[in-house]
Amino acid sequence: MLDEVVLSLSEVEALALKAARGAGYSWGLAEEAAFATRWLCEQGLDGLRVLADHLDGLLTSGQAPLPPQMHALQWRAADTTPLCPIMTGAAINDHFGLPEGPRQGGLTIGPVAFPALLLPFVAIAAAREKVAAVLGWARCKVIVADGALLALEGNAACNVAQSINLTVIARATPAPRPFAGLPTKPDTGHLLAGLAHRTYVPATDQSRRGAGAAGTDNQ
Amino acid sequence: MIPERSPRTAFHRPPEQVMRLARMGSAHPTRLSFLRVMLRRMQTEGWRFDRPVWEIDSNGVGRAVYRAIGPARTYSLVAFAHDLPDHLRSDRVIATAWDATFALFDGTPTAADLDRLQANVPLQEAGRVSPSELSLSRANRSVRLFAHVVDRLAEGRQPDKAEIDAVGYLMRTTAVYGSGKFGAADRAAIADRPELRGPFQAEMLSVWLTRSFTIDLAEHLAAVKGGATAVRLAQDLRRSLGVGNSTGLGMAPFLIKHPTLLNNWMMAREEALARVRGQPMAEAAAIDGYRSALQAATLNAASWTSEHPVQLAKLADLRGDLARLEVQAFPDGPYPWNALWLWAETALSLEGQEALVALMLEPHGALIDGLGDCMDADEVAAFALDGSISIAAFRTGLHQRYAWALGQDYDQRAQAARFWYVSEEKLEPRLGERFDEDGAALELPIGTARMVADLDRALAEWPADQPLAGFLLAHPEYRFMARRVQQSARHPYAEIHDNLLAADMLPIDILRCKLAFFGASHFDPRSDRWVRIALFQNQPFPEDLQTETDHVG
Repeated sequence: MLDEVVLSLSEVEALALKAARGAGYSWGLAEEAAFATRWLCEQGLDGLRVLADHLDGLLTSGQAPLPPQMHALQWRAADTTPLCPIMTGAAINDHFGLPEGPRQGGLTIGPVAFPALLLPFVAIAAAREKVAAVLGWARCKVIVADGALLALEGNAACNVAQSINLTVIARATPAPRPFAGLPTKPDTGHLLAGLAHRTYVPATDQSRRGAGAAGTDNQ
Repeated sequence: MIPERSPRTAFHRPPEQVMRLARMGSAHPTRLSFLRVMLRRMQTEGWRFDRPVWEIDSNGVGRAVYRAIGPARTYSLVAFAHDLPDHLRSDRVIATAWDATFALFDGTPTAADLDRLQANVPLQEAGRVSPSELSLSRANRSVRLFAHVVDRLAEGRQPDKAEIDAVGYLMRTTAVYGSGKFGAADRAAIADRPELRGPFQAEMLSVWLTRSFTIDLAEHLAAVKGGATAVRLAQDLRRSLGVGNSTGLGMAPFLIKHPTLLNNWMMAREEALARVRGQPMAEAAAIDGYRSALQAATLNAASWTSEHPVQLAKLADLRGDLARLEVQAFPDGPYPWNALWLWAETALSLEGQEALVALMLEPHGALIDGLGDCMDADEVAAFALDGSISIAAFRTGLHQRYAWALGQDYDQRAQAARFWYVSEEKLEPRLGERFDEDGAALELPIGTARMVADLDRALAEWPADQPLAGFLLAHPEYRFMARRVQQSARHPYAEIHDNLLAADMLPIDILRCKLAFFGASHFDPRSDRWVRIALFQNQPFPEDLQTETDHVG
């Protein structure tokens, strides 16, 4: 993984799953991280870069991923540490149609690390509820509809959004976006592969013995 | 088509019966198996085949291209033949060199494409392919049989039939990678093509064309060696050769990682069986078809060899049961297929029962072949959790669908004896002994039985009227299993109803189920976690499809 390489979406998903797991997420959240990363890549955004930066930030800071605390129309962090975008995104998916969700007057969420990772969750939850959604932070505004990216103004790449506004709007249909393939930068690939490596068990003689055929291969 | 919630009738076997490992490990190929689905389509649509490139030298080294030309698109198997020293020949995934390597190309490759592939395909996992490729695979020779066939043909004689029957293939694939692996096309990019929508259709095509290559290569080497004396392989011997496949543990986690896909395979087969059982009468032609399928199955069982004690016992069961079916009078009266089935459930072993499923489906193509279009899965659509369901409603469903897993003591050593993990060595999935080996902290989420029991215990501590969303926010560690429980609501055959961590669990049962859906007909376990099979034995070759019209049922 030392050269720039174009990964297929299934490779993106597999790498993201292992890297998130290697960074300490539970399997269920690692699956969410993989889904989100693949979705961003499908929409033409560098999902692997965002995930790599997020996981790197977690490991560098030594902070555990932080879930949101839910108040009326506001999801907040317990202190000044930014919320985990994977946990927050999964919570948006799970709560979208519930009173804690954005359907009754929108939500203000923040601070959130790497807010681009929220987009996939909002996109599929909104599509399920047959609505579209607008997210805004700093100098960025994003509309997701029908499970995809409809519009993006500004730059979605951002390490921390202090406050995100999430509002629900009427459903819309974006034009289909063929997946073109994104080159993955060597440092991104290297970082994620390093995290993925943490999920592998070192080989021992005992593990080798159990792996193969009992007899010979040739006949 | 299977209705979204097809009413389960008295003719349907419930998941509690179907999804047990012992039964899945007795699975037989049916006319809904993926290679049969592929051959039927090519036959119906009048596909054409050719071999535009054959650049193989007198040492058997070089490249070749086999094309399958369909009504809308063309696919090409690009084959590279290598000179492999014997000591490097290994079926293990950790091997780094093979007798032959392959890619299935989307379209007709140019010389530049072939050069690009030649620089990568022989390296397999260490190379890169592109979205123009649909699969990447490799194969090793059956050294002794391959040499026997070449030598005999070179002498102008046919090989010994007994030798061919004992092995069944000239080469065996040791891995066939599809779906975006190593840079190949993503499934999403090709899933809207009717000919590739079904499961593993690109992989099946690749293996089928590989079969032709193995025979062409043997005949080529015989001609080099024998010159004018050499002869070609006789038709009946060709036909009995398939492509071997050596499958280890790596394939087992697939069925657990893809629950909605497993459901759709099982549900299609079970719906097919229910339709046949639900026929009020049996047509004479269908009874004839059943009888000929029974004869073919008896021949297949007779030629099926294994040295593994588990398989030897199963083979004895199978042969005994097929003999019992042979003498069993076909039932009179209404719903005769159902009567036959109900008799089998009391009289036959699991091997015999599952063989009978295939025999009963065989003569009913018009009734069931459409189900072959229902065996793919939209896994993206099934992914998102519904957090709005109440804990009470969620648990009710869990208790209904996972009763098999609850009430066990997973703290007992025998219930938690194993753990599944990915080895650092070429990222091979392996199975460890929890109480003897390190690494259990890195175990894969395969122990569904224990996970669902843990989840249920945790849910019991949570207010029943609250939505699932709040529980998952507080307990992300249960999110993985909660998703599976929710998926199983609409996919009743999604879970294997056995403890996959248990000391007595046999991984070959999982492998056999999957390989039977591929269409494998001989299963020869080499250990409790490693199995040899053959694909496409006694099936037509491309040139047969072009000239014959009635053999692909």
